[in-house]
This record gives sequence, structure tokens and C-alpha cells, in this order.
Amino acid sequence: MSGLAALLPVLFAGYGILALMRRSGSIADCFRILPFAFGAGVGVLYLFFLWASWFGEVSLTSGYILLVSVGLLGGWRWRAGGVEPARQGDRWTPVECLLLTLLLALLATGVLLSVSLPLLEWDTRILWGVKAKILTAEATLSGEAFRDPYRLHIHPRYPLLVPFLSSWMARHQGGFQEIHFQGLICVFALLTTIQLFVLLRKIVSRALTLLLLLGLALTGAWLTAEFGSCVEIALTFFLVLAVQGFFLWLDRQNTSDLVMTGFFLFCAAMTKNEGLLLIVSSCLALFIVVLWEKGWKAGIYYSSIVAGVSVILSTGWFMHLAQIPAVSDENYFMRFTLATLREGILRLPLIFSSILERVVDLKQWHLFWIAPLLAGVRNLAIRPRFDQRFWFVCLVMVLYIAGIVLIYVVSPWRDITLHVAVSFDRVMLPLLPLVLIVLAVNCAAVSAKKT
Amino acid sequence: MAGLWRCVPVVLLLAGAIYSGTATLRQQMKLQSEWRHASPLDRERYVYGPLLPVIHKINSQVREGEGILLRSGVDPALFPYVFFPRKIWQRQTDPETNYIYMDLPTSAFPLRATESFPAAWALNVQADNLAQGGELVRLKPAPDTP
Repeated sequence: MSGLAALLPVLFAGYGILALMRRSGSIADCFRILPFAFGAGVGVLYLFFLWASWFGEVSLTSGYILLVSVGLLGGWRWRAGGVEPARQGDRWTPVECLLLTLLLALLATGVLLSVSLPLLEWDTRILWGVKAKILTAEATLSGEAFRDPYRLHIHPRYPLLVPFLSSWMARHQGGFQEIHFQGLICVFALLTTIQLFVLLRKIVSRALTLLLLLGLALTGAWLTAEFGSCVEIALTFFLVLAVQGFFLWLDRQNTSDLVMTGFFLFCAAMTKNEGLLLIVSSCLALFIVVLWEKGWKAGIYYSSIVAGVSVILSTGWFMHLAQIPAVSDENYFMRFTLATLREGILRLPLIFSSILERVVDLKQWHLFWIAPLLAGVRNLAIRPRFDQRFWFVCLVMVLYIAGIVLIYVVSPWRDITLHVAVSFDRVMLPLLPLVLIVLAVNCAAVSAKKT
Repeated sequence: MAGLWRCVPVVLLLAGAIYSGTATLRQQMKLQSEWRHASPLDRERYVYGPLLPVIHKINSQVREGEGILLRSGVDPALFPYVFFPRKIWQRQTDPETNYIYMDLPTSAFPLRATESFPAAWALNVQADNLAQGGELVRLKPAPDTP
């Protein structure tokens, strides 16, 4: 239990950061901003770890000094007048209560089934679990485990946010236990659901929001990732926070919301390398959407804020990467050469047929990929007014998928069908909430047109 | 009905999700039930697969503070997780795991001499000695050996 309790100071610091950014509201709003606060706390703690790692092991005490100071500073700021009046909520109908009960039952079942078995997912054990064990024993990136090329360590250059957080929990409990890792991923899954509820609720009715969330909680790919404690759940969580930051910016035009978007995209990049692709996709999507409404100067200005924050915050990690030897590394950046691209393009038909095989797997993806297509077709039919939220999310999805296909094109895997088969379901997981947002915006547009 | 019609994509999504979720949950519950009724050895076999004899051998003979110099003809990816906190080194820098599936450039690091490693044990695991738990040889005497 002390492992899970170790996340409370992280949350406390997160609330502090939000208060510092004048993001805090009434006490009643604490639940609404819970995922935001957790994400902010996690990001700050990891950022501290990246820089403190240069000076040797990062002690729990130094982590606590940071978290408590940030939390207290935020608390002081919050009292100083960041309070907004609490909003009056409307009453829940019996159908909504039933849907909520179903959703909660599903979430609880997911958590119970995840923690009742040991870690069985291959990647979770060989990549993320082992890094969590290493960081529990030696909380630094400057140690032999990361710097000695002869030490057997599969993919030592993979980002470490989730293993670090798991090791933070483990150090409070006295050692690594698989249940810490599983519990952490469950926390990310639950917070993703809460954040999506908050986000979708602003777009559509509560009943429709709950229906969409049931769609997420029942999707095979999501459940499989949760049961396997896959870090892609954390990646999805940070992407949802980044999207929420962008939506807040659209509402309030407050630059600090874009800074938060950049911050959460940094967290995504520190969770998995696909997060880097999400930074590129999101910045490009932001540029295009702003360009459409406000012109290219504004497009460049706002997208550079997001890109700048993500890149500046990531420098600590890239400085470490320069010291970590490239051993058994795919190194996709180096593979973007003309020769590799020319060779890879010949594999495109094979890549698309393998992707199609995954897409039509009803047990994992059911009708998931058809729903946004239907929404898109309906959007063409009803011709709603330009909605930046809809186009931003659609563009992120399209650019991200294009990026993944490009990675498959330059992939060093001899059997590309095997690469797609083992990775597609996991790398596409962050698109799940985006599809829900597209559907919600589309339904709202249809309703608005009919009324 | 009109409300439902407005939400056709959502209804479709939900209908598909119910099928998908039920199938995945049932599969996980089945696995969980099998796990509960399995013997400890069967559970280990499920988790470690053909590497189980090697894992038994290492856990019974190599102390936690001792390091292992590994030579492997099988995918060694699981070893660092299972043997932790025992450190594992290899004379060549690239674990075979990725070379089975990928075309990667030759390593920039040269082959190192066995004596240069602080390993107390040498483990040679090949496909033909996997069932025997590989070949484990002590390189340095145990710290408490007179």
C-alpha cells in the first residue's frame, strides 16, 4: 500500500503546479482536475530526476523536498486568490446512473483482472519491468546499467518515465514488486477515463459521454493493454491531457494552456518514443488549424510554443541519450535515408495488408476504425461550421498514422508482417480516445444542425 | 429513436465494443481461473517457457550479488528481468534478441576478453543445452571460500 501512497505527494505537487498557473478552482473542482494534477506532478518529478541524475543517485529525500516545496508554493498561491466559484451540477437521470454503475463495474473488473496475475506481457517484462528494477536499485541514469555497453540491457535508450515512477513506488515499499507496475498502469487507465469524461462532457450530453466511455472500456485492444500493464496506457493518458490543454486554449486563448499542452507532450515523449511522433503530429495539426482561422504567422507562433516547450524540456533526456551507448538499437532517425526509403517503399503493399489484417480483428478493434469514417462521411453531409477541435484531432490521427506507416517503411525488421503484427495494436492505442472525441464533436454538430 | 439515429456511429462503436470486450474479458477470466488451479511448477512453466531450467539453475546456484558472463544462442531478453539483481554481461555488445528479427549495423564495440569482466560465473545457453539449464561454470571463487 505504501507504494500506491507514494503517488500522493506527486499529486500534491501537481495541484501545486496547477494552482501556480491559476488553474485551481474550488475544492469541488479538485476531482475534475485530478488527472491534470497527477500528470503535472509526474512530469515535474521526472524532469527533476533527469537533471539530478547527472549528480549520481537521486534520493527519495530530494524528490520529497521538490514535491513538497512545489505543493506548498501552489497552496500559498491558491489561498492568495486563485479560487473560482463552484459550478452547480445538474441532476443525474436513472439511465445515467445505470451507465455510470456499468462503467465503474467495468473499470473495477479491469483493475482486479490486471493485478490478479503476474506480469505476463513480454515487452512489459523485458523492457519496462527490468528498467523499473534497475532504477529501484540505483536511481540514476549515470550508472553502469545505462552506460556500460557490455551489460545486457535490452533497449537501454528507451524513455523511462513509467519505469522511474514505478521505481519511485517500489522504493517506498522496500523493493520492486510486479503489483506496483500493474497498479501504476491501472492508475493511468482510471485517470484517462476521468479526464476523458471531463473532456467529452463539455462537448456532448452526460449519457452520450458515458456511452462513449463504455465503448473505450470495452474495447479489446484497451483491455488487453491494461491486462498486460502496457506503457501505451500512460502514453494515451498524456496525449489526452495534451488535447485537453489545446481545447482549453481554444476556449480561453490563454498561452499557459499551450504551455501545458507542450508539457504533457513532453511527458508522452518520455513515456515512449511514439511520443516524439505525437509531438510532431500535434504541432503540425495545431499549425494547420490555426493557419486556417488566423493565418500563417499565428500558426507558426502558437505551434512553436508547444514545440518549444516539449523540445526544451526534453533536452535533459537527449543529453543523457548522448551518453548511453547505442546497442541493439533500431535507431529509426538514422534509417531515414534515401536508400532505405526506396527499399522500404517496395514493402508498402505488404505493410498495408498486414495493417488491414489487424484493423479487421474484431476481438481487438471491433468497429472502431469504421466509426470515425462514418463520422467523417456524415460531417461531409451536414457541412457543419469549421470546428477547430474536430479538425485538430482528425489531423493528429492522420499524421500519427502516416508517421507510423513511415516507421514501418524504414523498419529494420526482416519480416515486416511480424513487426506490424507485434506492434500495431499497441502503437495505435493512443488513437482510441481521439476517435471518441471525433465522434463526440460529430454528434454535437449533428444535434446543433437539427435544432 | 431520433436521438439514437443522431448517434449512429456511437451505437455502432458500442455494439462492436460489447462483442470485443466480452470476448477479451472472458479470455482473461479463463486464464485467471487456469492460473488459480495450476501447480506452482506449471505456473513457472507458463511464465518462463523453455527458459525455466536455466532460471532454476541460476536461482539455485548463483548468489544475488554475483554477476554472470553470458553466451547465448537463444533469445536472452528475459534474463535481465528474471535474474535481477544479478548483473549480466556479454562479450559482444549486441544481444542476439534483435539480430534474430532485424538487420542492424555491426556493433561499434569490440569483443572483450573474458577476464576483463567482474563476473563470478560464465553461462553458456544454446538451443541444445537449454533443457539442462545451460552450462554454468564458476569463474571466480565464492567470496567466503578459504
